[in-house]
Amino acid sequence: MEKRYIEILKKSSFDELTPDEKEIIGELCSNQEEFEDAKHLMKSMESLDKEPFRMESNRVKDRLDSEFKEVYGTEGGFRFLHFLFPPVTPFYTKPGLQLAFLILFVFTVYYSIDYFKVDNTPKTLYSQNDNPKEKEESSESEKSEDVEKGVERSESEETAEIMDRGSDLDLNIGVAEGSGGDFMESEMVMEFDELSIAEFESVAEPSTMSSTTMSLGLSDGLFSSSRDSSPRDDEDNRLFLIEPVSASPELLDDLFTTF
Amino acid sequence: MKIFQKQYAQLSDEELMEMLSKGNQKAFDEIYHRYSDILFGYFMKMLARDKEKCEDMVHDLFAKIIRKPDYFDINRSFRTWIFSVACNMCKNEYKRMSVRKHVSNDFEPTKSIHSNSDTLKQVHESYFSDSFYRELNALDEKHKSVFSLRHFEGLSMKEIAKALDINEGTVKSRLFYATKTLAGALKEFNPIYNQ
Repeated sequence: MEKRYIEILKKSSFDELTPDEKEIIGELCSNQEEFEDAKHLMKSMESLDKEPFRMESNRVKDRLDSEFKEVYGTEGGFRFLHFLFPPVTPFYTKPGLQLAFLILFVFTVYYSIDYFKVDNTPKTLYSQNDNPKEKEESSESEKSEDVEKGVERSESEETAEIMDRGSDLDLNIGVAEGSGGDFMESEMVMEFDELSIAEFESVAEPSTMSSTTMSLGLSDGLFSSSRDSSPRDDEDNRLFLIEPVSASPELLDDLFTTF
Repeated sequence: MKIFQKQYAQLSDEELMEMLSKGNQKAFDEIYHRYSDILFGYFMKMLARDKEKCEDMVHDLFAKIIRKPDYFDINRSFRTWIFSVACNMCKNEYKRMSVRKHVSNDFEPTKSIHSNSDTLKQVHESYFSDSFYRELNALDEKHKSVFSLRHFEGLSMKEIAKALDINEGTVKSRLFYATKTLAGALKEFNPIYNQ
């Protein structure tokens, strides 16, 4: 369109124009007189174009060159800064920013890998219980559990102690049995029964313990296992071993009265 | 070594601007070489042919390019952008001083006629040229800038619209108004009225 109206103005007469052409230049000229004026102006302006303006002096260029050196001087720092952050380029193509983002990315990846190291220990499970109320509750329950454990531990220790004592007694009983002394056997059994009942009553609830015989049976079983396994006990047994009377019959001489 | 040197003359304005912003002196020289005379001519037409002022305007414009190259958006056309800057500078200049008064008082013909070349044609052309620029400067700034950009700088209506930040319809309207006004003011030079 922009060249069209100049071409239209080159035509000889306004009357020769088509309705479309008249519509195009309607704003410029609406009659023959205005058409002729515009046409003459365009024709005369062609001669004006032949004389372009030129800056003859180098004064402006010299001033600009010195300004250019001032702004983009040879100082290394500024040159490097201009290289990293050139003013005209879009921000995402600036080498400085690209470098910064790369470093940030590398560090993020490095630390995230370190942070998200796979660990299957209960640490992960514990970390899920972050609710403070739950924490308090859990700590309380832990405390109570600890108390219970402590009680249980002390109970079991006491039980073990009793069992140790019982095993010693049992061994003595066994030795006594081997020597054939009924009196000693009955006495020792009685003593053991009393002791074990007293101990068990102090540590165990009555409901858990059905009868003394049951506990004694249990203790027997335990004694036998402990007898089999422990080398220290063997040594102890040896120390407590009473030789049978048949091995030294002279010991019985004073016990029997000869009528 | 010459084969490794960049052919600055073959680079686009936008590429040169990018290099200029990184401190490339040769890119600046090429830009200056391409646009200094064009801008000088534009200012001469717009600012009543005050040569010294026009040189200062050219200097100021290129100084802006040196100091603030980031004002130029690389996605735009440099040609359009530089003329939009020149237009704004002219507007500011008009605001600062009464140019119209200046035109009528200080108008000087640019071309002197040699005493021995007294042909009627030369006289006529010279007289027309003076009258034309006088009438052009008598126009409003907005009409004058559109007319100058279209007929002297060769910008398309689209480019003018972008440079002046107006729509194409407005450009066309202003252009026709300026042409009509100038044609009416210079009708005395039309031979059909002198016959």
